[in-house]
Amino acid sequence: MKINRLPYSRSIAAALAAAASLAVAQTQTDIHRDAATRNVLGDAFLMQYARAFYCNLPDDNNQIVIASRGWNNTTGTGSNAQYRIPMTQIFDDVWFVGNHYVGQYLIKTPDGLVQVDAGNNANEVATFNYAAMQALGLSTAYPLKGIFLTHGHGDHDGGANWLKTNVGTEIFLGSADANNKAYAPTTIDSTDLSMRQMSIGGKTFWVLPTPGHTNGSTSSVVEVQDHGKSVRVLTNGGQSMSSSSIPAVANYLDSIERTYAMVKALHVEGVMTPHIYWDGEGEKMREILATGRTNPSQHVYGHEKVVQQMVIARECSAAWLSRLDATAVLPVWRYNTIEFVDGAPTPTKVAAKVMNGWGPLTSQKVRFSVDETGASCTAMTDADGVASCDVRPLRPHKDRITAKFEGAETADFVDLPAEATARVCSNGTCKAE
Amino acid sequence: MNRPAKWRVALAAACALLASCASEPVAPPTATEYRPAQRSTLVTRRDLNFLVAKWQGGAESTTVLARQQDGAAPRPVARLLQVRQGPGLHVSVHRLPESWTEADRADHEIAALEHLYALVLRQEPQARYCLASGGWPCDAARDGVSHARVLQALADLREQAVVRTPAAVPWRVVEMQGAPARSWDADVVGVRATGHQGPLADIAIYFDRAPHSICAARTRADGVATCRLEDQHGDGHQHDHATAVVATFPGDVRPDRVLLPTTYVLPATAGLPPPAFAQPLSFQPGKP
Repeated sequence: MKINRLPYSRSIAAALAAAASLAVAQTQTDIHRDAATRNVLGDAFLMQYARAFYCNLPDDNNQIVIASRGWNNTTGTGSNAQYRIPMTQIFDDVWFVGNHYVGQYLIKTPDGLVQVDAGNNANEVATFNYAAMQALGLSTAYPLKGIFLTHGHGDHDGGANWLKTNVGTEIFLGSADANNKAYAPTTIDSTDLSMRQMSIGGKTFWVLPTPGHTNGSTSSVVEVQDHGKSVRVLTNGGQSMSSSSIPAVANYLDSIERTYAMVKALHVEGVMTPHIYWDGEGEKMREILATGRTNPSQHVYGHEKVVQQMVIARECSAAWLSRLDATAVLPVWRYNTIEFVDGAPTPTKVAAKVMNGWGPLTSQKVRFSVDETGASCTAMTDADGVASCDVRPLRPHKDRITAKFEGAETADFVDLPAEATARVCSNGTCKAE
Repeated sequence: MNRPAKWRVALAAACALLASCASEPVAPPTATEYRPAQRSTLVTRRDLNFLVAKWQGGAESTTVLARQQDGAAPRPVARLLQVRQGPGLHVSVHRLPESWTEADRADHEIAALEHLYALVLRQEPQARYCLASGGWPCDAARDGVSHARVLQALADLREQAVVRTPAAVPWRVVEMQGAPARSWDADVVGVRATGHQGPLADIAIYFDRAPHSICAARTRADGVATCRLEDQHGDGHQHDHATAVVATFPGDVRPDRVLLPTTYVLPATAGLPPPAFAQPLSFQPGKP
């Protein structure tokens, strides 16, 4: 029997060479931590919150979480010894109730209240949430219609049984967390990882099982009203990565990637997260309390910022997974931006630049299309990341052009899609307009 | 030969003998998509294309590892069947009959085993496992072994497969055992890591206790790594110290040898002396 060993031997040599080069290169963990930082693109707020907290474990910096909790516990007495935040209206129809460590969101609907998460313990919900519900009109005619639980940990469902028993409501929880829960939740199938719509207390939630923090963690998007405008907001269920078990962290990574896809698909613009210190919502809350709610609300981060948060979270998760499984090789996700050169297209210049935290993105296809006429052209980015082409005719001040980079993948990188739209302006007069 | 080693050899031999047995066809449901198998530095032939498909049906979850060649339909080479029975999870790892030509058999078999090791590593450490070849049945609920044991069996199969390939980088199994418990503090955990030449010093071990207590330490000269589990989440709720602790060694791939990543489930009450002699983990850039 003759066995052709040549390809194997050759590949061994290649692998040895590659491994030798890796020995002096960054570890996979370092590569992903660095990528998380690069994806921040210099945004101080994202750096202070999303980057710092999502990367707490690969940075060996869980102290940041412990410190947040410790600071939260500096006021009050007894079981309510937390830094309580006064009930705060963050949207036309949403109020935050909680402390600086963990909180809940009360949503007013035409038929009653719906709450996201169920409080830290019975005493807290009896003292604070019940009072908040009464202030928002809780009555037999205006009941608590439902509670969506992000997951089954005590700081999220600790008051569920009290609410079910004393206020009466239907409670929804991921099926994988539902065993032995005294409040007998209605389950959301945790094994079906698809995003779907469901009615929770009459309110439409897009739910997405996101196992990782727990097996039954569920993320959601709801549409809320902000100064009369509909805005979709994300509740990242089981937000923190707090395990060093490979399958749990692998699940968490997969969940973050799917949450990114949900955020993109639903054009999510805001966040509504139980642990408000994690993504800077505590800062937003303080701002609202100090100077009032802005238009748009402080909790409307903007679609691109929410997307960027997810990309940072993805890289932090990849960094942690590759720490626990040092043999895993995960491609780096790069958050890309696309901007029109000179701020906007003109009838004689249609050009856009694609950039990311590593620099300009070269040799990538950008498609320009005129929203009003459907005319389009396609060009490749040059060494400066700039793509330009002719698309005619263009009517200044009337036509809008969308520049779109569809995204690209190599073995090492996933370059995420980017899109920008701008109105065509007159030659040389863009800034004046 | 110690008992675990005997067991591994017997299991590997049985698997090899059974490799020619017939198997029922394995094909994912129509809507299921194959995705590229996760890249791993364990895999030597990165030019060979392997795919993974996963689907769920009730309490059962199936994962298929398949080889794709020249754009042809993927050919399953292994199947993982996960069955949850109450709190227990059982995973049957089936190596499927291959139809590779003699010319490429060795390379493909090695690559398949390397991919399979990487895939099984990402399964639940606390589950019970069985390993079968050629479609021969195995019952993880009845004959199940630990995650570490099934990984060792796969490593042995890979070492058998590369025996005629001297250039192959040797895989070294790392074994962990609970270190002696001499502490009343149930949060102090420790393992002793050994390789083929004895205790392994200065390797990182990660410990995890659900729901969210973790710690990490490097092994001392005697191979013992110990640290005190800390609640990473800090929700203020009491957590069950009777929950098992999982220790993970992340692996270490170097040009001349591979220390294989693996896991070990500590008995729930394992404890060690207080961390007076513990080495808290301090990672240096470039160190795994």
